[in-house]
Amino acid sequence: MRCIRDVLPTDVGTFLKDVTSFDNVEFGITSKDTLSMSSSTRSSIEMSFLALLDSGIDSRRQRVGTFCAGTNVGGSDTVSRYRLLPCWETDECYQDHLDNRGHASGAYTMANRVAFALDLNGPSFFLDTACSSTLTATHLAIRSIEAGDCDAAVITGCQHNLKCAHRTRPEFKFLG
Amino acid sequence: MGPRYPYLSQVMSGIMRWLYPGGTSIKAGRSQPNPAPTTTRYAHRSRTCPSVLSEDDRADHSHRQVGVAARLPSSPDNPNDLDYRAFWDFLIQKGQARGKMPAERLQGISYVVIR
Repeated sequence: MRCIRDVLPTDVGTFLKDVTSFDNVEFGITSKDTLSMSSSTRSSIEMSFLALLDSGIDSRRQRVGTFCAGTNVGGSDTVSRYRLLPCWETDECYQDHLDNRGHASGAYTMANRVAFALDLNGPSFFLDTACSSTLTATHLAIRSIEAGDCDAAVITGCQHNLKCAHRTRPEFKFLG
Repeated sequence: MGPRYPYLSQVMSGIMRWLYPGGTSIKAGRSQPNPAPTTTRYAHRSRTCPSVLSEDDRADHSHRQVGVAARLPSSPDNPNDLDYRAFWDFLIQKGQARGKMPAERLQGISYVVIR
């Protein structure tokens, strides 16, 4: 019997370049923390920074909410199933990560990391509602602003499928 | 006259209008810009796309201020991701960015491709 993960729907796609690279010095994050962060969290920090820069609002130490959507691939439960980041490819590095990891790899830390790195003092909220995550995050952010919880909000959506295994999870295969 | 580039901010504003046709009571925060990036990685993106607001508009807090940033993948022969203008040109020219899956993503698994 053939394992269902052996069957791929395609072998072509469009891929981001240097998807795991990150300038931790820019954000004052230690190398160790960066290593244990998933690439989705790294991208969320980068993109949040650039979006705030683009908006022109003064966000540092202001009541700016953080609503991060997506799958924190590489963090939380997925860390034990897949060795996702290049730095975890060797057994020694991976074991070191498991032994010494901080909270940077947890799914719940995705929004917290963005808020901490960018000095945002509003509510910090991670959510995953599958394909509707970012729209749900947008809705919650707007309601949060209207309720007065924060003056502005950062909304991020990020999912990195770094390994083929993510594309072919059995539950999605059965959905067609 | 060349093509008019839509600002990503305008796209986001459109989504907001679609989500909340009656409008929301959102007000922008303070109108002072964030400090410029300090390292070279982001220096060329100090303003990712032109703002839809003038400086006078920025002083008026009744305006909504929206900023957008995104990563846009390019074709395999391009060493960098697409920036916003390149992405617009890519769309207008009906570009093709598909490529073979990088070998490292298939590492350690045996597979059959079914199309």
